[in-house]
Amino acid sequence: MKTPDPERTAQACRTYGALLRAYPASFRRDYDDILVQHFRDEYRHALASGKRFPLLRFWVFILLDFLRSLLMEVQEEVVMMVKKNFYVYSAIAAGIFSPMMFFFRGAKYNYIDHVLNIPYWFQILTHALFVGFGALALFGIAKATDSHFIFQLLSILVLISAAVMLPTPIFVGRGTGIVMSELHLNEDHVAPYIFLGYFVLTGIIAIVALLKRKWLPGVTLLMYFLPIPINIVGNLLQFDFLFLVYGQPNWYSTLYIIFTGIAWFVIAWWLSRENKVASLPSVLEAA
Amino acid sequence: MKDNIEKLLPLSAAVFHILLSLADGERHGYGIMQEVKERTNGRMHLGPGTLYGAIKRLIHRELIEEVYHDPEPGEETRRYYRLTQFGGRVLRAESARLEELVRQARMKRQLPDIAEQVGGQA
Repeated sequence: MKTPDPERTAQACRTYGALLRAYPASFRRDYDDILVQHFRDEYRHALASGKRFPLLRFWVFILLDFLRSLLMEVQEEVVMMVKKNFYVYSAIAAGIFSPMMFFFRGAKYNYIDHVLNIPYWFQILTHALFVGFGALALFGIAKATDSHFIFQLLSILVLISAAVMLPTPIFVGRGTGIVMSELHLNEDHVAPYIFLGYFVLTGIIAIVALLKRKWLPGVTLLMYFLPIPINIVGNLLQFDFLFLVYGQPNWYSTLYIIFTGIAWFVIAWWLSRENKVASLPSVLEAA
Repeated sequence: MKDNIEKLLPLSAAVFHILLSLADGERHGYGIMQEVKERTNGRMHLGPGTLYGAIKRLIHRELIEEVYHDPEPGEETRRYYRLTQFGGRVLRAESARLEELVRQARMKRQLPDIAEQVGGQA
């Protein structure tokens, strides 16, 4: 039987304490000290047990327990975070798909397509995902506020349209669909109407969101329209680098799109971290 | 928030043993671990991460609660836990569920009859 050396015990506790930093902050805040206390008791007990290789057995046991519980705690934390801020993450996802959408919409005509050969259905998919996540964000807000019937109605409408939109490019290919081919329409005929439909729906929802002072989804959805004024200004001033919609083959627009995506992601992340997702003006004031 | 008891069942083995160890009184975390280990002949050894993760969830679901104890002179401060009334009901419901399983296994002759066991011991 060994008597634990206080210095070695303290060293072991420090090592375990360092491991604990991997746990989510909320778990650490509540149980950090007690975990180390428990560890110390176990450590002393293991040394005093008289078994062969007590330290090796002990550390294997502790590490397995640590890994198992770490996975569980992290998983629980992530699920809770997403559930709690469901609409925030939907808005972030919409914010990510929004620049992708611009990127791929122009791809058919620009330099990117020559390099990546992006299929047409992928462009429609990014549209559907953008609108779908935007709608989910709204739906989350509708649920959270439970008084905004108009939000629920509109978000359900958009979700249905996104749901209809999604399988079309996946199962039928190139976004046209059997019905459309029966009507002797090709994608160049149909696509503008699909996009127009999204424009109208997205516009209505963005306006309603802003009127209801739901700034995050409102601004996210407004990004859909961002290229229009930029394009108009670009046309008026004849600045090539401002062409975004049905893009010109230049890298300025690509860089701009990537920058917008990253900037929006950072803003959304910061908003959610500060718990100020519902009020952009208050965030600006705070800044 | 108190969930419906049925929704919480079946309990995991670790949770069941933690609740069972608190059935006869308050214990601190290390005490729970020792009691479970002794009662299961070392088959269930709860590590600190698993134990306090489960305790956190049990407190959240109001199956157990923390109680304050003044430490004895020279003793470390420890957090004690005890079963809530709801926790007791969940534990009894789970025990009844397990008993029913055992009864069914016995009916299918997958376990020795209690009378046989008693006879064998005699």
